[in-house]
Amino acid sequence: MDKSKNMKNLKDKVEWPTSDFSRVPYEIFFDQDFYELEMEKIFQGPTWNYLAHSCEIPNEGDFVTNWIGDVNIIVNRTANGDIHAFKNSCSHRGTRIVDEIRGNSTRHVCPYHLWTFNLEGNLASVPLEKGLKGKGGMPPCFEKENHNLRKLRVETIGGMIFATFSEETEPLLDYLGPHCQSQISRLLDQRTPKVTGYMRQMIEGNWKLYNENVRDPYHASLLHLFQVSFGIQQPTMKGGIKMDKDTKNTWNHSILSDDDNTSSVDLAAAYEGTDKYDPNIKLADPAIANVPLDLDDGYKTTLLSMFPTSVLAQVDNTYAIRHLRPKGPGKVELNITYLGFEEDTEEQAFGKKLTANFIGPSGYISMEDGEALRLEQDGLKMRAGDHSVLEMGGIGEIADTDYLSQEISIRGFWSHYHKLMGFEG
Amino acid sequence: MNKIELHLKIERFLFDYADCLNEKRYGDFPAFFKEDDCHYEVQSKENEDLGLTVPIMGCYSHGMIRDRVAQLVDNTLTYRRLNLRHFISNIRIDDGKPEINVNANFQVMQSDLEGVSKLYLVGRYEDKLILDQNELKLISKRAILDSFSVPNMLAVPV
Repeated sequence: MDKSKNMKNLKDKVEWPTSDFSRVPYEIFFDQDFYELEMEKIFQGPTWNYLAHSCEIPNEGDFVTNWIGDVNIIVNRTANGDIHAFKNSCSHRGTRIVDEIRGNSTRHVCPYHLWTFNLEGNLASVPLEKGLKGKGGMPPCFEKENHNLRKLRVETIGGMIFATFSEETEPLLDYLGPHCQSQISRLLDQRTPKVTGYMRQMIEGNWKLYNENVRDPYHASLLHLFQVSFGIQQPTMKGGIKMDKDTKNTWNHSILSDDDNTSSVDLAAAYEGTDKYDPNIKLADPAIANVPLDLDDGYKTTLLSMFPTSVLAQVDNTYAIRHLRPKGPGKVELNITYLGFEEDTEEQAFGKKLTANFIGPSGYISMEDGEALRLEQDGLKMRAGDHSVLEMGGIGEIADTDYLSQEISIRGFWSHYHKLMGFEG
Repeated sequence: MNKIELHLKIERFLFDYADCLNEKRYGDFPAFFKEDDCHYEVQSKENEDLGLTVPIMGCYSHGMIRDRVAQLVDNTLTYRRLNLRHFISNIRIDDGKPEINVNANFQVMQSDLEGVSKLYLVGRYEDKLILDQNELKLISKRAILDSFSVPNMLAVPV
């Protein structure tokens, strides 16, 4: 259904009172109409969406299924090594074709009437197409080539496979921008990634709240006490945020430096008036906090947030791809692909098992995000007509910073969202 | 100890373990594990079936188990105060001497502070126990989740 014609009514539902996006209307987090418009304007629109890492489908016929918004997608590899993606819905009567998460198949057969599609998504055969004994069959005007699966454009970087529904979407590298390119290269191209585990977390919050969360280093050291106490990210640490030309993608990072250990006075001051920071916390087994970084460039965290639903994250010595799968306005599944590298020594591999405790639904540094988003969703539902406040780090111009406690990159996200949704003009 | 006595002892051990978590006595949790040799993990059925070894929660020493519950004991973690109740069934025991292999199913219900209950987790335990001076201790406990799309977060052990 084309929601565009109703846009005028939808626009009237909310107000964006500031041009710097320091105020965001709460309705867009819980109103079903905005959710449906997002599915059309953002997920079917000019955006690149993460589907899989190429190491998950190394051979001909390997496939995985994943979601772009509400739409289930098959992504697979053909005989010549190319990667193709198409909508997991039969061109005949709409049936879901592949009902598995991953596997290998030389073709995809719809279970209902056995229409068969090749690995490029083309309709290869239709049972009883010519009828039986001169009777029945498809009409003479039926051409199989007019009934292929809905194909998506596919591009990859660092093995990350992205797809888009739109012909308008600019090339992937331009879409991601220079910081994403250099960081993806830093994290994924220097070695050979392999999946060492998946984690899933069903969060009772709108998918955009998670986008705010990963663009918000302000909360990182306040909500996540663990990483402050163990020096992974602290409000006094060096770091900053850098965005792409549309301010939709954010690279935020913190940098380890020699003087961090001497800054406990600053740290105590940063937490003044709260009862959260306790400098005396000790681990019974400190192994988890002593895993050396694989890369010697000093980055303690690197969070690449790619509009609308993908994150490549290095938190301490963990490497993971996070992907958001919206499940209606009030719920989102966070799907995490945890990475190791073929080159890892036994010790490095065990180190990554230790530090996996930092991330995911039980992660010392991440589990509280699920809770924060649930509470946020619960609270903001009561605030129709009102707006959230994004002023930390400054208002006005949306620009890169060399400090961490900021919400400017969240405003960057909203700026692009506002444009794609057609709120302008 | 004959087979029936051993079965009853292990069943009681599992129910005591469950009550420790149900009653939020997180400080007592590490004592179910053998101090000098133990392993605890929560793994997804997805990873288990794929042979992927990184778990959702993994403790490879008694100290790591103590650290896992420390934030709960100290009350410094931001998490939802739910009442959890473990139901353990289908207990099967293979006495391999010295290790006793125990398999069981579990279901954990969650009830919020306004008394609304729903299913939180379902899965199976894969345990290795030993008798240490006639007292059972876990040397390994693996909770493998069928419900691996974890609702909201998993702050407490299963």
